Amino acid sequence: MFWIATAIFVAAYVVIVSEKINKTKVALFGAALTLATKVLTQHDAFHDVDLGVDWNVIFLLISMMIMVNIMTKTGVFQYVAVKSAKIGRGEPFAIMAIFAVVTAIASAFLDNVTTVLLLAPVTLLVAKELEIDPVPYLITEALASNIGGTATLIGDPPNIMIASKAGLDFMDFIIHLTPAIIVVMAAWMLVWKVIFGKRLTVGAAQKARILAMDERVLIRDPALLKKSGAVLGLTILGFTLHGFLGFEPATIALLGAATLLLISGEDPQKIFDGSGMAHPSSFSSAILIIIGGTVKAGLIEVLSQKVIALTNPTKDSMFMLSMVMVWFSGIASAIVDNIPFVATMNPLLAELAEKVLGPATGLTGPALYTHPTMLPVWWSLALGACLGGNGTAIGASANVIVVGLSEKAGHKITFGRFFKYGAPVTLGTIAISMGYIYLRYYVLGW
Amino acid sequence: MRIREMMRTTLATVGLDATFAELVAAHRCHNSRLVYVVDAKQHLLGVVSCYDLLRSAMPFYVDANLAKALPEDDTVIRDSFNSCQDKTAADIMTREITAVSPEGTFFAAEALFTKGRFNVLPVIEDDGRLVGELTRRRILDFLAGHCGL
Repeated sequence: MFWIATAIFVAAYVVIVSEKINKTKVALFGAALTLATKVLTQHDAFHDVDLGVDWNVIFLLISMMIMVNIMTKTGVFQYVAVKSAKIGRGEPFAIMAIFAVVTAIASAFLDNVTTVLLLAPVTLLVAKELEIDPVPYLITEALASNIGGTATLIGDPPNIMIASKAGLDFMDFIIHLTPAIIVVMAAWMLVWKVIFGKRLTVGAAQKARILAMDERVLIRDPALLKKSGAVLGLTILGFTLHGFLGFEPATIALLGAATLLLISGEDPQKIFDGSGMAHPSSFSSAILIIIGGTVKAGLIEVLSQKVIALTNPTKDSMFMLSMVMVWFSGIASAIVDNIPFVATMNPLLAELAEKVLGPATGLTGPALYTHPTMLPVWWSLALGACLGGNGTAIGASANVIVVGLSEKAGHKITFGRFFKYGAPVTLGTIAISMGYIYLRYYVLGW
Repeated sequence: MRIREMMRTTLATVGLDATFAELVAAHRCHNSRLVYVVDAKQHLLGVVSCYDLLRSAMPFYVDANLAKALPEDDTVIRDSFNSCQDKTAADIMTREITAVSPEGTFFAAEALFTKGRFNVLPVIEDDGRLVGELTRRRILDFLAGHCGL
Protein backbone atom coordinates (compact mmCIF):
# COMPACT_ATOMS: atom_id res chain seq x y z
CA MET A 1 0.00 0.00 0.00
CA PHE A 2 2.86 2.38 0.84
CA TRP A 3 4.29 2.29 -2.66
CA ILE A 4 0.90 2.41 -4.38
CA ALA A 5 -0.11 5.51 -2.40
CA THR A 6 3.31 7.08 -3.01
CA ALA A 7 3.13 6.35 -6.74
CA ILE A 8 -0.35 7.89 -7.07
CA PHE A 9 0.73 10.93 -5.05
CA VAL A 10 3.96 11.53 -7.01
CA ALA A 11 2.33 10.88 -10.40
CA ALA A 12 -0.54 13.27 -9.63
CA TYR A 13 1.90 15.99 -8.51
CA VAL A 14 4.10 15.57 -11.59
CA VAL A 15 1.18 15.71 -14.02
CA ILE A 16 -0.41 18.69 -12.23
CA VAL A 17 2.88 20.63 -12.31
CA SER A 18 3.41 19.77 -15.99
CA GLU A 19 -0.02 21.31 -16.77
CA LYS A 20 -0.42 18.84 -19.64
CA ILE A 21 -3.82 17.74 -18.34
CA ASN A 22 -6.44 19.80 -16.47
CA LYS A 23 -5.57 19.58 -12.77
CA THR A 24 -9.11 18.64 -11.70
CA LYS A 25 -9.12 15.68 -14.09
CA VAL A 26 -5.76 14.53 -12.69
CA ALA A 27 -6.85 14.92 -9.08
CA LEU A 28 -10.17 13.11 -9.62
CA PHE A 29 -8.42 10.23 -11.41
CA GLY A 30 -5.83 10.03 -8.61
CA ALA A 31 -8.61 9.98 -6.01
CA ALA A 32 -10.46 7.26 -7.93
CA LEU A 33 -7.26 5.19 -8.10
CA THR A 34 -6.68 5.68 -4.36
CA LEU A 35 -10.10 4.13 -3.74
CA ALA A 36 -9.91 1.49 -6.49
CA THR A 37 -6.56 0.20 -5.20
CA LYS A 38 -8.05 0.08 -1.67
CA VAL A 39 -5.37 2.38 -0.25
CA LEU A 40 -8.39 4.12 1.29
CA THR A 41 -11.88 2.74 1.78
CA GLN A 42 -14.78 4.86 0.60
CA HIS A 43 -15.69 5.32 4.25
CA ASP A 44 -12.20 6.75 4.91
CA ALA A 45 -12.50 9.10 1.92
CA PHE A 46 -15.93 10.48 2.67
CA HIS A 47 -16.35 10.16 6.42
CA ASP A 48 -12.91 10.43 8.04
CA VAL A 49 -11.81 14.06 8.25
CA ASP A 50 -8.15 13.06 8.78
CA LEU A 51 -7.99 10.83 5.72
CA GLY A 52 -10.53 12.12 3.24
CA VAL A 53 -12.67 15.06 2.20
CA ASP A 54 -12.82 17.93 4.67
CA TRP A 55 -16.42 19.04 4.28
CA ASN A 56 -15.71 22.15 6.33
CA VAL A 57 -13.36 23.31 3.56
CA ILE A 58 -15.69 22.32 0.73
CA PHE A 59 -18.83 23.94 2.14
CA LEU A 60 -16.95 27.09 3.10
CA LEU A 61 -15.64 27.40 -0.48
CA ILE A 62 -19.05 26.73 -2.03
CA SER A 63 -20.93 29.05 0.32
CA MET A 64 -18.57 31.98 -0.21
CA MET A 65 -18.80 31.53 -3.97
CA ILE A 66 -22.61 31.59 -3.82
CA MET A 67 -22.55 34.89 -1.91
CA VAL A 68 -19.97 36.49 -4.21
CA ASN A 69 -21.83 35.33 -7.30
CA ILE A 70 -25.05 36.94 -6.13
CA MET A 71 -23.23 40.12 -5.12
CA THR A 72 -21.61 40.37 -8.55
CA LYS A 73 -25.04 40.89 -10.06
CA THR A 74 -25.45 44.17 -8.17
CA GLY A 75 -22.64 45.96 -10.07
CA VAL A 76 -21.04 47.01 -6.78
CA PHE A 77 -17.57 45.84 -7.77
CA GLN A 78 -17.58 47.99 -10.93
CA TYR A 79 -18.87 50.87 -8.82
CA VAL A 80 -16.03 50.50 -6.32
CA ALA A 81 -13.41 50.22 -9.07
CA VAL A 82 -14.57 53.31 -10.97
CA LYS A 83 -15.01 55.25 -7.72
CA SER A 84 -11.46 54.26 -6.74
CA ALA A 85 -10.08 55.57 -10.04
CA LYS A 86 -11.90 58.86 -9.44
CA ILE A 87 -10.61 59.07 -5.86
CA GLY A 88 -7.16 58.78 -7.42
CA ARG A 89 -8.04 61.97 -9.41
CA GLY A 90 -6.77 60.28 -12.58
CA GLU A 91 -3.20 60.16 -11.24
CA PRO A 92 -1.73 56.90 -12.61
CA PHE A 93 0.24 55.84 -9.54
CA ALA A 94 -2.50 56.86 -7.12
CA ILE A 95 -4.92 54.70 -9.11
CA MET A 96 -2.47 51.80 -9.12
CA ALA A 97 -2.04 52.00 -5.34
CA ILE A 98 -5.77 52.39 -4.65
CA PHE A 99 -6.59 49.47 -6.96
CA ALA A 100 -3.97 47.36 -5.16
CA VAL A 101 -5.44 48.16 -1.74
CA VAL A 102 -9.03 47.63 -2.92
CA THR A 103 -8.05 44.31 -4.51
CA ALA A 104 -6.23 43.20 -1.37
CA ILE A 105 -9.15 44.08 0.91
CA ALA A 106 -11.69 42.43 -1.42
CA SER A 107 -9.51 39.33 -1.71
CA ALA A 108 -9.27 39.07 2.07
CA PHE A 109 -12.98 38.28 2.12
CA LEU A 110 -13.74 37.02 -1.38
CA ASP A 111 -12.27 34.49 -3.75
CA ASN A 112 -9.07 35.87 -5.37
CA VAL A 113 -10.01 34.82 -8.88
CA THR A 114 -13.43 36.45 -8.61
CA THR A 115 -11.85 39.65 -7.33
CA VAL A 116 -9.46 40.02 -10.27
CA LEU A 117 -12.13 38.93 -12.75
CA LEU A 118 -14.32 41.76 -11.49
CA LEU A 119 -11.64 44.44 -11.27
CA ALA A 120 -9.54 43.66 -14.36
CA PRO A 121 -12.13 44.86 -16.93
CA VAL A 122 -12.41 48.23 -15.17
CA THR A 123 -8.61 48.39 -14.96
CA LEU A 124 -8.32 47.80 -18.71
CA LEU A 125 -10.88 50.52 -19.36
CA VAL A 126 -9.16 52.99 -17.02
CA ALA A 127 -5.78 52.29 -18.65
CA LYS A 128 -7.36 52.81 -22.06
CA GLU A 129 -8.84 56.14 -20.96
CA LEU A 130 -5.47 57.18 -19.52
CA GLU A 131 -3.68 55.91 -22.66
CA ILE A 132 -1.16 53.92 -20.62
CA ASP A 133 0.04 50.31 -20.56
CA PRO A 134 -2.41 48.24 -18.44
CA VAL A 135 0.10 45.44 -17.78
CA PRO A 136 1.74 46.91 -14.62
CA TYR A 137 -1.77 47.53 -13.23
CA LEU A 138 -3.03 44.04 -13.98
CA ILE A 139 0.04 42.32 -12.54
CA THR A 140 -0.17 44.56 -9.46
CA GLU A 141 -3.79 43.47 -8.97
CA ALA A 142 -2.93 39.78 -9.24
CA LEU A 143 -0.12 40.23 -6.71
CA ALA A 144 -2.39 42.27 -4.42
CA SER A 145 -5.13 39.65 -4.55
CA ASN A 146 -2.73 36.91 -3.45
CA ILE A 147 -1.28 39.12 -0.70
CA GLY A 148 -4.71 40.27 0.52
CA GLY A 149 -6.07 36.73 0.46
CA THR A 150 -3.40 35.74 2.97
CA ALA A 151 -4.82 38.05 5.63
CA THR A 152 -7.90 36.09 6.70
CA LEU A 153 -9.20 32.57 7.20
CA ILE A 154 -11.56 32.91 4.23
CA GLY A 155 -9.19 34.80 1.92
CA ASP A 156 -7.46 31.86 0.28
CA PRO A 157 -8.21 28.11 0.20
CA PRO A 158 -4.87 27.19 1.91
CA ASN A 159 -5.91 29.26 4.94
CA ILE A 160 -9.29 27.52 5.05
CA MET A 161 -7.53 24.15 4.94
CA ILE A 162 -5.00 25.13 7.62
CA ALA A 163 -7.74 26.51 9.87
CA SER A 164 -9.81 23.38 9.53
CA LYS A 165 -6.90 21.03 10.18
CA ALA A 166 -5.38 22.94 13.10
CA GLY A 167 -8.65 24.11 14.65
CA LEU A 168 -7.83 27.81 14.20
CA ASP A 169 -10.63 30.35 14.06
CA PHE A 170 -11.26 33.51 12.05
CA MET A 171 -9.96 35.82 14.80
CA ASP A 172 -6.73 33.81 15.09
CA PHE A 173 -6.00 34.74 11.48
CA ILE A 174 -6.99 38.39 12.05
CA ILE A 175 -4.73 38.63 15.10
CA HIS A 176 -1.76 36.76 13.68
CA LEU A 177 -1.77 37.16 9.89
CA THR A 178 -3.54 40.46 9.18
CA PRO A 179 -0.81 42.57 10.85
CA ALA A 180 1.82 40.77 8.76
CA ILE A 181 -0.11 41.51 5.58
CA ILE A 182 -0.56 45.19 6.51
CA VAL A 183 3.21 45.47 6.91
CA VAL A 184 3.80 43.58 3.65
CA MET A 185 1.33 45.78 1.72
CA ALA A 186 2.79 49.02 3.11
CA ALA A 187 6.37 47.98 2.27
CA TRP A 188 5.37 46.79 -1.20
CA MET A 189 3.52 50.00 -2.04
CA LEU A 190 6.51 52.07 -0.91
CA VAL A 191 8.76 50.13 -3.28
CA TRP A 192 6.16 50.44 -6.05
CA LYS A 193 6.03 54.21 -5.46
CA VAL A 194 9.79 54.42 -6.04
CA ILE A 195 9.55 52.29 -9.19
CA PHE A 196 6.36 53.62 -10.77
CA GLY A 197 5.78 57.00 -9.06
CA LYS A 198 7.57 59.07 -11.70
CA ARG A 199 7.41 56.62 -14.57
CA LEU A 200 3.62 56.78 -14.91
CA THR A 201 2.47 60.15 -16.16
CA VAL A 202 -0.54 61.30 -18.16
CA GLY A 203 -1.91 64.60 -19.43
CA ALA A 204 -4.79 66.66 -18.09
CA ALA A 205 -7.15 65.49 -20.87
CA GLN A 206 -6.68 61.85 -19.88
CA LYS A 207 -7.26 62.61 -16.21
CA ALA A 208 -10.40 64.53 -17.13
CA ARG A 209 -11.79 61.43 -18.88
CA ILE A 210 -11.50 59.42 -15.66
CA LEU A 211 -13.16 62.16 -13.64
CA ALA A 212 -15.98 62.32 -16.20
CA MET A 213 -16.93 58.68 -15.63
CA ASP A 214 -20.18 58.23 -13.72
CA GLU A 215 -19.91 55.44 -11.18
CA ARG A 216 -23.41 55.96 -9.75
CA VAL A 217 -25.12 54.38 -12.75
CA LEU A 218 -23.18 51.14 -12.21
CA ILE A 219 -25.32 49.87 -9.33
CA ARG A 220 -27.71 47.62 -11.25
CA ASP A 221 -29.86 46.39 -8.40
CA PRO A 222 -29.83 48.58 -5.24
CA ALA A 223 -32.31 46.30 -3.43
CA LEU A 224 -30.15 43.24 -4.04
CA LEU A 225 -27.08 45.22 -3.00
CA LYS A 226 -28.69 46.06 0.34
CA LYS A 227 -29.65 42.43 0.93
CA SER A 228 -26.33 40.94 -0.13
CA GLY A 229 -24.34 43.64 1.70
CA ALA A 230 -26.29 42.97 4.89
CA VAL A 231 -25.90 39.20 4.62
CA LEU A 232 -22.18 39.41 3.80
CA GLY A 233 -21.67 41.84 6.69
CA LEU A 234 -23.50 39.54 9.11
CA THR A 235 -21.58 36.55 7.78
CA ILE A 236 -18.25 38.29 8.40
CA LEU A 237 -19.50 39.24 11.87
CA GLY A 238 -20.43 35.58 12.32
CA PHE A 239 -16.90 34.58 11.29
CA THR A 240 -15.41 36.87 13.92
CA LEU A 241 -17.61 35.22 16.57
CA HIS A 242 -17.65 31.62 15.32
CA GLY A 243 -15.08 30.44 17.84
CA PHE A 244 -17.05 32.08 20.66
CA LEU A 245 -20.37 30.74 19.34
CA GLY A 246 -18.99 27.25 18.88
CA PHE A 247 -19.70 26.98 15.14
CA GLU A 248 -17.37 25.86 12.39
CA PRO A 249 -16.73 28.57 9.71
CA ALA A 250 -18.58 26.45 7.14
CA THR A 251 -21.74 26.63 9.25
CA ILE A 252 -21.58 30.43 9.31
CA ALA A 253 -20.88 30.61 5.56
CA LEU A 254 -23.62 28.14 4.69
CA LEU A 255 -26.10 30.07 6.81
CA GLY A 256 -25.16 33.27 4.95
CA ALA A 257 -25.27 31.68 1.49
CA ALA A 258 -28.58 29.90 2.11
CA THR A 259 -30.16 33.07 3.55
CA LEU A 260 -29.01 35.17 0.61
CA LEU A 261 -30.25 32.60 -1.91
CA LEU A 262 -33.60 32.60 -0.14
CA ILE A 263 -34.09 36.37 0.11
CA SER A 264 -32.44 37.41 -3.16
CA GLY A 265 -34.96 35.68 -5.40
CA GLU A 266 -32.07 34.56 -7.60
CA ASP A 267 -32.37 31.28 -9.51
CA PRO A 268 -30.03 28.79 -7.75
CA GLN A 269 -29.40 27.00 -11.04
CA LYS A 270 -27.95 30.18 -12.57
CA ILE A 271 -25.92 30.92 -9.46
CA PHE A 272 -24.46 27.39 -9.38
CA ASP A 273 -23.79 27.42 -13.13
CA GLY A 274 -22.12 30.80 -13.05
CA SER A 275 -20.08 30.37 -9.88
CA GLY A 276 -17.55 27.88 -11.21
CA MET A 277 -17.72 26.25 -7.79
CA ALA A 278 -17.67 22.68 -9.11
CA HIS A 279 -14.05 23.00 -10.22
CA PRO A 280 -12.30 24.15 -7.00
CA SER A 281 -14.44 22.02 -4.70
CA SER A 282 -13.93 18.88 -6.83
CA PHE A 283 -10.20 19.56 -7.06
CA SER A 284 -9.82 20.14 -3.30
CA SER A 285 -11.87 17.04 -2.43
CA ALA A 286 -9.89 14.83 -4.80
CA ILE A 287 -6.53 16.12 -3.58
CA LEU A 288 -7.55 15.49 0.04
CA ILE A 289 -8.38 11.86 -0.84
CA ILE A 290 -4.98 11.34 -2.53
CA ILE A 291 -3.17 12.87 0.46
CA GLY A 292 -5.36 10.78 2.80
CA GLY A 293 -4.00 7.71 1.04
CA THR A 294 -0.43 8.77 1.77
CA VAL A 295 -1.33 9.42 5.42
CA LYS A 296 -2.87 5.99 5.86
CA ALA A 297 -0.05 4.25 4.00
CA GLY A 298 2.60 5.90 6.19
CA LEU A 299 4.34 8.19 3.67
CA ILE A 300 3.51 11.34 5.63
CA GLU A 301 4.90 9.76 8.81
CA VAL A 302 8.19 9.03 7.03
CA LEU A 303 8.35 12.58 5.68
CA SER A 304 7.59 14.09 9.10
CA GLN A 305 10.47 12.10 10.63
CA LYS A 306 12.76 13.53 7.96
CA VAL A 307 11.56 17.09 8.69
CA ILE A 308 12.14 16.51 12.42
CA ALA A 309 15.66 15.25 11.73
CA LEU A 310 16.35 18.24 9.47
CA THR A 311 14.97 21.08 11.61
CA ASN A 312 15.27 19.59 15.09
CA PRO A 313 12.05 20.98 16.61
CA THR A 314 11.60 20.69 20.38
CA LYS A 315 8.62 21.03 22.67
CA ASP A 316 9.82 24.55 23.56
CA SER A 317 10.74 25.95 20.16
CA MET A 318 10.23 25.21 16.52
CA PHE A 319 12.22 28.21 15.36
CA MET A 320 14.19 26.51 12.61
CA LEU A 321 11.09 24.70 11.34
CA SER A 322 9.17 28.01 11.15
CA MET A 323 11.94 29.74 9.25
CA VAL A 324 12.36 26.85 6.84
CA MET A 325 8.58 26.56 6.43
CA VAL A 326 8.13 30.18 5.25
CA TRP A 327 10.70 29.80 2.48
CA PHE A 328 9.95 26.20 1.57
CA SER A 329 6.21 26.93 1.29
CA GLY A 330 6.87 30.12 -0.66
CA ILE A 331 9.17 28.51 -3.23
CA ALA A 332 7.03 25.37 -3.53
CA SER A 333 3.83 27.42 -4.02
CA ALA A 334 5.41 29.42 -6.83
CA ILE A 335 5.80 26.14 -8.71
CA VAL A 336 3.03 23.88 -7.39
CA ASP A 337 -0.62 24.77 -6.81
CA ASN A 338 -0.83 25.78 -3.15
CA ILE A 339 -3.93 23.62 -2.47
CA PRO A 340 -2.18 20.24 -2.95
CA PHE A 341 0.90 21.65 -1.26
CA VAL A 342 -1.00 22.64 1.89
CA ALA A 343 -3.02 19.42 1.73
CA THR A 344 0.33 17.60 1.98
CA MET A 345 1.83 19.82 4.67
CA ASN A 346 -1.23 19.77 6.95
CA PRO A 347 -1.05 16.07 7.93
CA LEU A 348 2.74 16.28 7.96
CA LEU A 349 2.70 19.08 10.54
CA ALA A 350 -0.06 17.33 12.50
CA GLU A 351 2.08 14.18 12.61
CA LEU A 352 5.10 16.24 13.63
CA ALA A 353 3.15 17.93 16.44
CA GLU A 354 2.04 14.56 17.73
CA LYS A 355 5.61 13.26 17.75
CA VAL A 356 7.38 16.29 19.20
CA LEU A 357 4.73 17.88 21.43
CA GLY A 358 2.28 15.05 22.07
CA PRO A 359 4.25 13.03 24.65
CA ALA A 360 5.47 16.15 26.50
CA THR A 361 2.13 17.97 26.72
CA GLY A 362 -0.32 15.07 26.79
CA LEU A 363 -2.50 16.99 24.35
CA THR A 364 -4.17 15.66 21.22
CA GLY A 365 -6.11 17.06 18.24
CA PRO A 366 -6.71 20.83 17.88
CA ALA A 367 -5.52 21.52 21.45
CA LEU A 368 -2.16 20.04 20.46
CA TYR A 369 -2.03 21.66 17.02
CA THR A 370 -2.72 25.13 18.45
CA HIS A 371 -0.13 24.80 21.21
CA PRO A 372 1.91 28.07 21.37
CA THR A 373 5.02 26.23 20.20
CA MET A 374 3.22 24.98 17.12
CA LEU A 375 1.32 28.15 16.13
CA PRO A 376 4.21 29.99 14.39
CA VAL A 377 4.69 26.96 12.15
CA TRP A 378 1.08 27.14 10.91
CA TRP A 379 1.42 30.90 10.29
CA SER A 380 4.68 30.29 8.42
CA LEU A 381 2.95 27.71 6.26
CA ALA A 382 0.03 30.07 5.54
CA LEU A 383 2.26 33.06 4.72
CA GLY A 384 4.60 31.06 2.52
CA ALA A 385 1.90 29.11 0.69
CA CYS A 386 -0.26 32.15 -0.09
CA LEU A 387 2.50 34.67 -0.88
CA GLY A 388 4.56 32.17 -2.87
CA GLY A 389 1.85 32.09 -5.52
CA ASN A 390 3.04 35.51 -6.68
CA GLY A 391 6.36 34.15 -7.92
CA THR A 392 5.33 33.09 -11.41
CA ALA A 393 2.55 33.60 -13.93
CA ILE A 394 1.22 30.14 -13.09
CA GLY A 395 1.79 30.33 -9.32
CA ALA A 396 -1.81 31.28 -8.54
CA SER A 397 -5.13 31.20 -10.36
CA ALA A 398 -5.44 35.01 -10.16
CA ASN A 399 -2.15 35.34 -12.08
CA VAL A 400 -3.36 33.01 -14.82
CA ILE A 401 -6.58 35.02 -15.11
CA VAL A 402 -4.90 38.43 -15.53
CA VAL A 403 -2.40 37.03 -18.02
CA GLY A 404 -5.31 35.65 -20.07
CA LEU A 405 -7.38 38.84 -19.89
CA SER A 406 -4.41 41.01 -20.76
CA GLU A 407 -3.57 38.92 -23.81
CA LYS A 408 -7.19 39.02 -24.93
CA ALA A 409 -7.02 42.81 -24.70
CA GLY A 410 -3.94 42.83 -26.93
CA HIS A 411 -1.31 43.19 -24.18
CA LYS A 412 0.58 39.91 -23.96
CA ILE A 413 2.23 39.22 -20.60
CA THR A 414 5.10 36.80 -21.15
CA PHE A 415 6.22 34.41 -18.40
CA GLY A 416 9.39 36.51 -18.13
CA ARG A 417 7.58 39.80 -17.76
CA PHE A 418 5.37 38.47 -14.97
CA PHE A 419 8.42 36.96 -13.30
CA LYS A 420 10.17 40.36 -13.40
CA TYR A 421 7.37 41.77 -11.23
CA GLY A 422 6.36 38.67 -9.29
CA ALA A 423 9.69 37.18 -8.23
CA PRO A 424 11.06 40.27 -6.42
CA VAL A 425 7.69 40.85 -4.76
CA THR A 426 7.58 37.22 -3.63
CA LEU A 427 11.11 37.30 -2.27
CA GLY A 428 10.49 40.63 -0.53
CA THR A 429 7.15 39.66 0.98
CA ILE A 430 8.45 36.29 2.19
CA ALA A 431 11.52 37.97 3.68
CA ILE A 432 9.23 40.40 5.53
CA SER A 433 7.07 37.46 6.66
CA MET A 434 10.11 35.65 7.98
CA GLY A 435 11.15 38.79 9.86
CA TYR A 436 7.61 39.10 11.23
CA ILE A 437 7.54 35.49 12.46
CA TYR A 438 11.01 35.82 13.97
CA LEU A 439 10.30 39.12 15.73
CA ARG A 440 6.77 38.42 16.91
CA TYR A 441 7.10 34.81 18.11
CA TYR A 442 10.78 34.29 18.82
CA VAL A 443 11.96 37.72 20.04
CA LEU A 444 8.90 39.51 21.43
CA GLY A 445 7.02 36.30 22.28
CA TRP A 446 3.57 37.70 21.39
CA MET B 1 -36.18 20.62 -53.79
CA ARG B 2 -32.43 20.97 -53.49
CA ILE B 3 -30.51 23.83 -51.92
CA ARG B 4 -28.97 24.57 -55.33
CA GLU B 5 -32.42 25.72 -56.51
CA MET B 6 -32.95 28.24 -53.73
CA MET B 7 -29.47 29.51 -52.82
CA ARG B 8 -28.19 32.97 -53.64
CA THR B 9 -25.08 33.07 -55.82
CA THR B 10 -24.16 36.75 -55.73
CA LEU B 11 -21.85 36.91 -52.75
CA ALA B 12 -19.43 39.31 -51.09
CA THR B 13 -16.04 37.59 -51.24
CA VAL B 14 -12.61 38.81 -50.20
CA GLY B 15 -9.11 37.36 -49.84
CA LEU B 16 -7.27 36.60 -46.62
CA ASP B 17 -5.39 39.89 -46.79
CA ALA B 18 -8.50 42.10 -47.06
CA THR B 19 -8.16 45.02 -44.66
CA PHE B 20 -10.58 45.97 -41.91
CA ALA B 21 -11.78 48.92 -44.01
CA GLU B 22 -12.37 46.64 -47.01
CA LEU B 23 -14.36 44.23 -44.87
CA VAL B 24 -16.51 47.06 -43.54
CA ALA B 25 -17.03 48.34 -47.09
CA ALA B 26 -17.96 44.84 -48.32
CA HIS B 27 -20.60 44.60 -45.62
CA ARG B 28 -22.01 48.02 -46.38
CA CYS B 29 -22.12 47.45 -50.14
CA HIS B 30 -23.65 43.98 -50.20
CA ASN B 31 -27.03 43.05 -48.86
CA SER B 32 -25.58 40.06 -47.04
CA ARG B 33 -25.06 39.01 -43.45
CA LEU B 34 -21.66 37.51 -44.24
CA VAL B 35 -18.54 38.39 -46.15
CA TYR B 36 -16.84 35.21 -47.38
CA VAL B 37 -13.07 34.81 -47.19
CA VAL B 38 -11.85 32.61 -50.04
CA ASP B 39 -8.60 31.62 -51.74
CA ALA B 40 -7.82 32.04 -55.45
CA LYS B 41 -9.80 28.89 -56.32
CA GLN B 42 -12.85 30.04 -54.34
CA HIS B 43 -12.26 27.56 -51.51
CA LEU B 44 -13.99 28.88 -48.40
CA LEU B 45 -11.50 29.76 -45.63
CA GLY B 46 -13.71 31.67 -43.23
CA VAL B 47 -16.56 34.11 -42.84
CA VAL B 48 -16.74 37.62 -41.42
CA SER B 49 -20.01 38.81 -39.90
CA CYS B 50 -20.88 42.27 -38.59
CA TYR B 51 -20.54 40.71 -35.14
CA ASP B 52 -16.95 39.66 -35.94
CA LEU B 53 -16.10 43.19 -37.07
CA LEU B 54 -17.64 44.86 -34.04
CA ARG B 55 -16.14 42.29 -31.65
CA SER B 56 -12.66 43.02 -32.93
CA ALA B 57 -13.24 46.77 -32.81
CA MET B 58 -14.92 47.14 -29.43
CA PRO B 59 -13.09 46.60 -26.12
CA PHE B 60 -14.35 43.20 -24.89
CA TYR B 61 -14.03 44.20 -21.26
CA VAL B 62 -16.69 46.92 -21.47
CA ASP B 63 -19.95 45.15 -20.70
CA ALA B 64 -23.39 46.71 -20.90
CA ASN B 65 -23.23 47.91 -17.31
CA LEU B 66 -19.73 49.35 -17.43
CA ALA B 67 -20.54 51.13 -20.70
CA LYS B 68 -23.07 53.24 -18.77
CA ALA B 69 -20.24 54.85 -16.80
CA LEU B 70 -18.32 55.99 -19.87
CA PRO B 71 -18.24 59.75 -20.46
CA GLU B 72 -19.78 61.32 -23.55
CA ASP B 73 -16.26 61.65 -24.88
CA ASP B 74 -15.98 58.74 -27.34
CA THR B 75 -12.17 58.64 -27.48
CA VAL B 76 -12.00 55.05 -26.26
CA ILE B 77 -14.39 53.81 -28.93
CA ARG B 78 -12.72 55.79 -31.72
CA ASP B 79 -9.27 54.60 -30.62
CA SER B 80 -10.46 50.99 -30.50
CA PHE B 81 -12.02 51.24 -33.94
CA ASN B 82 -8.96 52.95 -35.41
CA SER B 83 -6.64 50.37 -33.86
CA CYS B 84 -8.33 47.77 -36.07
CA GLN B 85 -7.01 49.35 -39.26
CA ASP B 86 -4.04 46.97 -39.28
CA LYS B 87 -6.18 43.87 -38.91
CA THR B 88 -6.94 41.68 -41.91
CA ALA B 89 -9.62 39.15 -42.73
CA ALA B 90 -7.26 36.42 -41.51
CA ASP B 91 -7.22 38.02 -38.03
CA ILE B 92 -10.93 38.66 -37.79
CA MET B 93 -12.72 35.84 -39.60
CA THR B 94 -14.50 32.91 -37.99
CA ARG B 95 -12.77 29.75 -39.17
CA GLU B 96 -15.11 27.12 -37.77
CA ILE B 97 -17.88 27.18 -40.33
CA THR B 98 -21.07 25.18 -40.63
CA ALA B 99 -21.91 24.84 -44.31
CA VAL B 100 -24.35 22.91 -46.49
CA SER B 101 -23.97 21.13 -49.80
CA PRO B 102 -25.84 22.39 -52.89
CA GLU B 103 -27.27 18.88 -53.22
CA GLY B 104 -28.68 18.94 -49.67
CA THR B 105 -32.37 19.43 -48.98
CA PHE B 106 -33.89 22.48 -47.38
CA PHE B 107 -35.12 20.21 -44.55
CA ALA B 108 -31.51 19.51 -43.62
CA ALA B 109 -30.65 23.22 -43.92
CA GLU B 110 -33.62 24.20 -41.75
CA ALA B 111 -32.51 21.72 -39.07
CA LEU B 112 -29.05 23.33 -39.08
CA PHE B 113 -30.56 26.82 -38.87
CA THR B 114 -32.53 25.79 -35.81
CA LYS B 115 -29.78 23.79 -34.10
CA GLY B 116 -27.05 26.38 -34.59
CA ARG B 117 -29.28 29.47 -34.36
CA PHE B 118 -27.89 30.58 -37.72
CA ASN B 119 -29.58 32.98 -40.10
CA VAL B 120 -27.36 32.23 -43.06
CA LEU B 121 -25.37 29.21 -44.21
CA PRO B 122 -22.64 29.10 -46.86
CA VAL B 123 -23.15 26.54 -49.59
CA ILE B 124 -20.00 24.68 -50.62
CA GLU B 125 -19.18 21.89 -53.04
CA ASP B 126 -17.53 18.68 -51.80
CA ASP B 127 -14.09 20.12 -52.63
CA GLY B 128 -14.73 23.17 -50.41
CA ARG B 129 -15.49 25.66 -53.21
CA LEU B 130 -18.00 28.34 -52.25
CA VAL B 131 -20.99 28.36 -54.62
CA GLY B 132 -23.69 30.24 -52.75
CA GLU B 133 -25.43 31.06 -49.51
CA LEU B 134 -28.77 30.06 -48.10
CA THR B 135 -30.98 32.11 -45.82
CA ARG B 136 -34.35 31.31 -44.25
CA ARG B 137 -35.77 34.13 -46.33
CA ARG B 138 -34.61 32.37 -49.54
CA ILE B 139 -36.24 29.14 -48.39
CA LEU B 140 -39.47 30.95 -47.59
CA ASP B 141 -39.46 32.82 -50.92
CA PHE B 142 -38.80 29.60 -52.80
CA LEU B 143 -41.54 27.66 -51.02
CA ALA B 144 -44.03 30.50 -51.40
CA GLY B 145 -43.36 30.64 -55.14
CA HIS B 146 -43.50 26.86 -55.39
CA CYS B 147 -46.89 26.71 -53.68
CA GLY B 148 -48.27 29.67 -55.59
CA LEU B 149 -48.66 31.96 -52.57
